Amino acid sequence: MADYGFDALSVHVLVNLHDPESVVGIKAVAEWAADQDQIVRVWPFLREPINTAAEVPKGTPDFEAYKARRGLARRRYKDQERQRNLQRLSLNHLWSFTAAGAVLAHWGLLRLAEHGVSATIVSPFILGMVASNKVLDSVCVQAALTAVMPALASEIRGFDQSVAKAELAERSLWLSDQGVLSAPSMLYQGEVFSGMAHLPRLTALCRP
Amino acid sequence: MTNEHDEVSVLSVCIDFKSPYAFVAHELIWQLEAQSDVTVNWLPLTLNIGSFLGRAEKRDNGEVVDSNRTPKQWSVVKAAYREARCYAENQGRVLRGPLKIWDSSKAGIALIWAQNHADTRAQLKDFMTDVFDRFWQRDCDIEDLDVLHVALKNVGIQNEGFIDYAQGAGRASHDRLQEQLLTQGVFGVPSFIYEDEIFFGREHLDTVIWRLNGSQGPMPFVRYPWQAM
Repeated sequence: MADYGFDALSVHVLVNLHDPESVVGIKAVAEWAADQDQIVRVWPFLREPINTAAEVPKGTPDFEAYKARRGLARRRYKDQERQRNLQRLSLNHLWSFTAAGAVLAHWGLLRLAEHGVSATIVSPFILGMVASNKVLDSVCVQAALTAVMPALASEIRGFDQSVAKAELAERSLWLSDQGVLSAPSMLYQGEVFSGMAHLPRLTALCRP
Repeated sequence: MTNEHDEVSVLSVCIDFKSPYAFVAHELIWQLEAQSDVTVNWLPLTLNIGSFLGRAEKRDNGEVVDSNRTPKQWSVVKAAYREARCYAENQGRVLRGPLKIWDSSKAGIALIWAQNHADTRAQLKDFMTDVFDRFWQRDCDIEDLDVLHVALKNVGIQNEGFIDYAQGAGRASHDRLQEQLLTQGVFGVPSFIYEDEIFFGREHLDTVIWRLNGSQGPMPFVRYPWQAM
């Protein structure tokens, strides 16, 4: 897979920094990469989560009631899992981005990946950023990005939010077309792995 | 959470025989029981798959004869089976995609019966493994009470009265359980319930073990076990 820099030899991790699951995924894959001596790059993937239940045609009142109750249970569970993920990150707060901060952070991830920056470097940068503030605006994201890679300062000066947003959307759409359903996911040798829980299998695949 | 004998179980695990995820998880859960002091209380959660993934029916040759699934739903279903098949093969198991969405409630009732009538844990494990393995080889009609009746007998579980139970008290017990589990917040399988905390998916097995052991040290990351636990 040569397009967009997704070379076949590296493991590519696709994340959405709004979601703690992705940040936990970066932390997990960075530790894994260090153990495996494997090149891992972290890329943004910004698509709305797939809600297959919403596409099911309306049914009987009992059917609709079941759908509603199951949906509620699923949402409650996601909250519970979000709390566990914060615990995995040793954080007691959930961060959020301003609109500009979010675009800059994901655009920054893209540039870092293109510059060949590994997950082992991206991980402390992301963890430090989400731990430092509850609301991440473009000022703090810019400071974090230039701290991890000073050479990015000149690229950031030419940063155009709407152009960056379009680039992120286009790349995410392309990844969707390759079969990526959600973040975090991984790509290795053209195969999509949904979720970081596949790391043990990836270990077996990457082992010479 | 209690079973029919009001015995308190430390760890409850919800499964559905028609779920590929439950299929690739059940052996791992038995390993967890073998390697710890926990006795797993198996609970059937009969999923209404059509309510969240649409419905579909195929011929033997794979041709779709009836479906209301959208392309997005198909892509999710296909990815799920591709993934589950990979893990099943790694366990030396055969996973052939079902040709329809089965009503697995009778198999769920048989699971309740098996748990209450098995003389040993090995009998219960053999029953579950047999039904799971044959169902995923398209060799077990889990909607047929006679088939389940024989499956119980084949592993040495007393089956006299099972048919009546499945049509009466067992059905009532199963249906009541579905309400309870949904109210409790269980929406998929396999799910683990420990001290009112729910973990959905076999990727949480390490975290469940961590909780069972008193939550010492950092909480583990999620992972799908690839080699034996």
